[in-house]
Amino acid sequence: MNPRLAGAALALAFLCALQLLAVLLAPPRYLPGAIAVRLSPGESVTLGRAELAAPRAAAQQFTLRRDAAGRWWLRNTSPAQAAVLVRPDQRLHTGSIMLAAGQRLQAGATMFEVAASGAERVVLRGAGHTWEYDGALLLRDGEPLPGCPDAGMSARLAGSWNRVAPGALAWRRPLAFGGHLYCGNRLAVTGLDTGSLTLARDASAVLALHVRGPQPVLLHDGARLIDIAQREHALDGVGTIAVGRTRFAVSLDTDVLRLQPAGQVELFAEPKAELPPGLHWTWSERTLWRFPPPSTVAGSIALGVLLLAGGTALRLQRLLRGAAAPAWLAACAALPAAAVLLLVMQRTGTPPGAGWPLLLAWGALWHALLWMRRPPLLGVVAVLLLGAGLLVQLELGLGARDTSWLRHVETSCVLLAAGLPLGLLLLGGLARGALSRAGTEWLLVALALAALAGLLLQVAFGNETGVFEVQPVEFAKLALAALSAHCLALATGAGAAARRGWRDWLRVLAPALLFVLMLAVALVQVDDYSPLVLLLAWAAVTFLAWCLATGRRRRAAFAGGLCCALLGAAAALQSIGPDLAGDFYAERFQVWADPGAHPHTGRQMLLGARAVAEGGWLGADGLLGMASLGGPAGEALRIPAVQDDFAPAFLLNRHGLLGGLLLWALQAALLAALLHAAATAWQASATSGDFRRAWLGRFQCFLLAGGAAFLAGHFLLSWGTNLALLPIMGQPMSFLSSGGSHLLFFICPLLAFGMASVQSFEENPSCRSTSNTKSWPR
Amino acid sequence: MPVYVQHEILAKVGDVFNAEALWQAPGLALFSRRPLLRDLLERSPREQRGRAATRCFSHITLMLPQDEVDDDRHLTRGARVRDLAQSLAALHQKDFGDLLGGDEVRYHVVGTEDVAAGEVKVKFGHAVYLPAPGEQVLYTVTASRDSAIWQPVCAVYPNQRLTLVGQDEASATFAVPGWPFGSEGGILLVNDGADAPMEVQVRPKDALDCRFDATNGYYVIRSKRGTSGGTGDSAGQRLLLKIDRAGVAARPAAPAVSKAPSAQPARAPSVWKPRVTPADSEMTAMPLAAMPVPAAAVPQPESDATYAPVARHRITLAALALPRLSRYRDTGAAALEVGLGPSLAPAVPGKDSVIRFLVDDADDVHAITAAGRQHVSVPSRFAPLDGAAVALHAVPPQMADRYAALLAVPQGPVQPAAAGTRLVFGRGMPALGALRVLDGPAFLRQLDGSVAASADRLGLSRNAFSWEASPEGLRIVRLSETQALFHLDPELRLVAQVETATQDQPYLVPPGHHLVAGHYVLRFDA
Repeated sequence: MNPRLAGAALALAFLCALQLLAVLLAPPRYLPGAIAVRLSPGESVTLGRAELAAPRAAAQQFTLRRDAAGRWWLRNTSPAQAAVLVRPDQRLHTGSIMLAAGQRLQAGATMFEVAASGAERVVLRGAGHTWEYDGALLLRDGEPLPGCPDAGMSARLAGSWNRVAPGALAWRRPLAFGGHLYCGNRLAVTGLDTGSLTLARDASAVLALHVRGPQPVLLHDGARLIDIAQREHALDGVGTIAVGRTRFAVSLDTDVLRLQPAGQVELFAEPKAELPPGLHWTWSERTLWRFPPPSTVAGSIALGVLLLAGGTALRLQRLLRGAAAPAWLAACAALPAAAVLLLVMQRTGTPPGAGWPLLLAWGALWHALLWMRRPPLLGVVAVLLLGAGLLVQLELGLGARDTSWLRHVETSCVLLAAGLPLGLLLLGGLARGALSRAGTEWLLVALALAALAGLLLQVAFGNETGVFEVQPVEFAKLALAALSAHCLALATGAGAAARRGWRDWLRVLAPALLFVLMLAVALVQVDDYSPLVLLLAWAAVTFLAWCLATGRRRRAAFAGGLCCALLGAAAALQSIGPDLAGDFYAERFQVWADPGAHPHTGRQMLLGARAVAEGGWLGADGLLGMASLGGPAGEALRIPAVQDDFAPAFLLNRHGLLGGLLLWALQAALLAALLHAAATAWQASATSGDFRRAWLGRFQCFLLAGGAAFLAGHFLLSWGTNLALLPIMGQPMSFLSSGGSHLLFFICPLLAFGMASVQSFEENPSCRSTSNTKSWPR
Repeated sequence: MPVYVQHEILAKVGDVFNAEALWQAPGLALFSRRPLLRDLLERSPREQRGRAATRCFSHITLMLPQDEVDDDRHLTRGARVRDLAQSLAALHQKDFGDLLGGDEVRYHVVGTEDVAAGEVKVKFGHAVYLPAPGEQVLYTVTASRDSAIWQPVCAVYPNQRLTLVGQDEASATFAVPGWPFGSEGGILLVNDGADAPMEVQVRPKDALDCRFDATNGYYVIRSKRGTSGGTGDSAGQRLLLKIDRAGVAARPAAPAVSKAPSAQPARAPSVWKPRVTPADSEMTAMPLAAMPVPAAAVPQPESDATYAPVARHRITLAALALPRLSRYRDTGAAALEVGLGPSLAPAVPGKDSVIRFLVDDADDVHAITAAGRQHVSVPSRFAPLDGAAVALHAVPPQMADRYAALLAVPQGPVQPAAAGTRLVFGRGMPALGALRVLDGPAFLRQLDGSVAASADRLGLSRNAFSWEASPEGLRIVRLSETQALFHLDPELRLVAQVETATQDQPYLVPPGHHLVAGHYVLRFDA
């Protein structure tokens, strides 16, 4: 065993031991396994955050009542926070209601009469006009309203489209009551805030009125007067009640209502709580090694993944040598299958304990470390960074006050175990030149189209946090880096580059430029500007790599100087930050420049700074976090988005500046390893006498450099944000933060590609001079 | 059958001299509508292991529009063509360096009328070889349909391993003129170096049959389908393929006289023999200063031999001695042409001749068939028809100043020779007149284009000799002093020049032997 492998194995074993210790040392935590509400007919009880163990519920969330006939009723008493009643065929917000003809709606100071209400449209009369709305377009007396002055491009386009499109093809847009402006789909209502009352088609395409916020909206139904948000709902047939991120499975006995909490449930150090009469909790202890029997669906999906991955592994087996190759290929198939099993179990409501995903992640890390007989520096550093990230997320999860925090580390573990072995398996073929250029091009275009489709979905249905719990930008980053690497590899491949005209350059780079443009447009559309900074960093590094690769040293120096100047200018902005005036982003700069003056909006930064200061050099416990392994996370948990953007703050708080410096050194080593691999790839391509090998080398060079640029951007933004060197940008720190999409769609493929590239250099005879040790998967 | 020769057309090329534009398309391969040269070479590797190429082709011929090549030759002395070849070779070397395995990259750019403007045709493959500068030809390959007209097919160089010859250049390295077997067949020449003999294989093997004709020294390729009752165009067709090693005499056994003296005769040309009563139209042309042949020991027949019963004597025209026309230059004779009819009997040269032989005023012998006219060397054999052989024998050295070749006549005319009578053979004489097949117009052409009345005026006196058949042989008596008479044995080897044959001492030509008088080689059979 060579020294590097021994050292790497020792370090990884240490990290795994720390994680195991954290799990073992975590103090016991208790949570209500079931909440029983016993009411006699005619009685009622109000439940809130304390009674429901739901951290996101209001202090008085809803009132349960039994009428004289013994039926159970629920009335939401906190209009700002709706509860959701889930029946097998219906999902009802307590603030939503379907209108019926003849009813009168009192919103703010205006009274509307419901003239007609059906599946197709709703007609209201009020404020001196007749309002007709079909789920897409609001008509005042049969005429559409002019566009709103603050509407963005997409809103204007959608509005224009809806005016001409037939009903089935129209773009669904809600009708918003409130404000003082009649425009677009807005209906001005005096005394009502915009957005607190909307009329829109819900998930089942039914036109329904939705009330959000504390302002009462009343409905006159004949003689009755109903406050929509606080009206009573019968609990007959309700299977689940959801409040915030806590779900309660409902089972009704004659006089006992049993609620079984799941999702985000508050944790207690002792099985004791003060409860009102009629309420009873059945305590259960948090267990990290629970493994409920998986459902048939989960089992069959996992089996499918196992078969697929196993088939792929068998196909690629002929490329591998060594006696132990079958075992490694089996691991390649088994790890992702197990990960998918756990993922499906998590998503279907029977999550296994946090220990199982952790075991799986260890397997993936060791698998990656031992993938090559002589592990490259890149692989070693990446595995250590991943292990450190998992440790931090585990500490956050174990130290949190509710059950939802562990989900972050579980998701990270599962995605890592799925993504890394699969990536190594699939990209291992690439390293051996098994993929043709044409095939790669198809793959790249498919990747780019998939990324654009994801971005389109995000623009249409999501927001800056993603769509369907996936952040398409991460995938787009990878696709962009790969596509542009291919374009640059082609552009630098032709020998007579100097003789090229701009048309040739455009023809080569057009796909990448087009993709960048569409990516930028999509990001602007979803108001997510921080990836643009990453794109800028990527573009600069890629340009730099191109200059260096093609021997344009002067331009390279110029570009490098420009980058440094930009960074310097960003730092200088801090001094003029307070003087900035304008919108949301100017405010961010102001908060950054002087967080103390903005105690509310600057809370994240202030708490982060406090956590960092509390950590000091050796961590809050003075022992680099060793003493508080598995212990409570303390005040750091109150930092908003501590698991994402402010994970480094937690790390500094827990493990001190020394731990942070160690992490920083690992990150620098990773970037250096990536850039070294890129440089090696370029040299291999320059000396290669086969244009396919040469292309592959250039492709590897630019992709690795681009990936390193994105990683460096993430590190820079994240450290800058956490250390208040930069305004808050909301970018996770790679390897450390719990970003599922970032991990699965960017880190894992990039690492697998990097390791496959390093492997290809070692197997390629033209690079034999750099290494005389053969390495292959065992 | 593997593709030995790849022919591809690169269409819509803006500048046919732009190496980059021919080599690869800029931008993504997905957006390039057609493959360019590098893609073609990548798709068709020379050798591959699994799906990975291990060797690539390195000899590529580019065919450009002729006009472009001509313009380049006029304007830049061919610099763009050279530049194109060099640039492509450099690109090839750079992009396929690992797959060359020490092979030298060679590009050859030619112009051709077959490609349209803006198109470039490329040719490469297993059977495409471009010689290095200064490389000497190892073999020359010629082909014939009739064994007489040999048309050049190609040259094979020492390092040229595979050569495919076939119908046209689209499917083969070289086209064979008059290829009779259609487009699907081909002949593969495998050259494993100068030490090993050339191997000839036919493709496909079930359609063609190849045999080596050792006597004639060429390969005979026949269509199998024709013999098995096929009705295709190639039914019954055959092709003769001759592979000659360059630098070595094609026939080591052949006498060197075949060609050498003909071009520049050492002696003075012939003149009209002065006669007492000169009559131009009746005069016999005789070569001057006939070389004095050393007196050979003429075998005298046994005088006391027992006479056999009277046999049937006959005289056959066994061969035609084709004269050296240069010796008769003053007569204005330009060409003497003899045709062999379908039965291989000598006849007036015409369309129905299977093969014709012609001696021109430079004494070169030419064979003429439907495929054309070609200079032939002497001796040589021809098989204009299946199973029919025509031999052109070398002339014995003593006769060489008069004759260029002896054309054996397989089915020559025969006349009975009545014993006991003495008859005169000569121009215009009735006896044995049927044997004087050249006595007629259309055999001899004059320099001015006119046709002589009879070719017999060349070298055959009116009274050449008198003869009398006897069981011992043919007794001949010279009647003309200038008439050259030669006695040849059954194998047409010279026995003696008949110098003295008087009435008293007639010269005896034994049965089976030949007598040459003028251009007639007569055989006496008893």
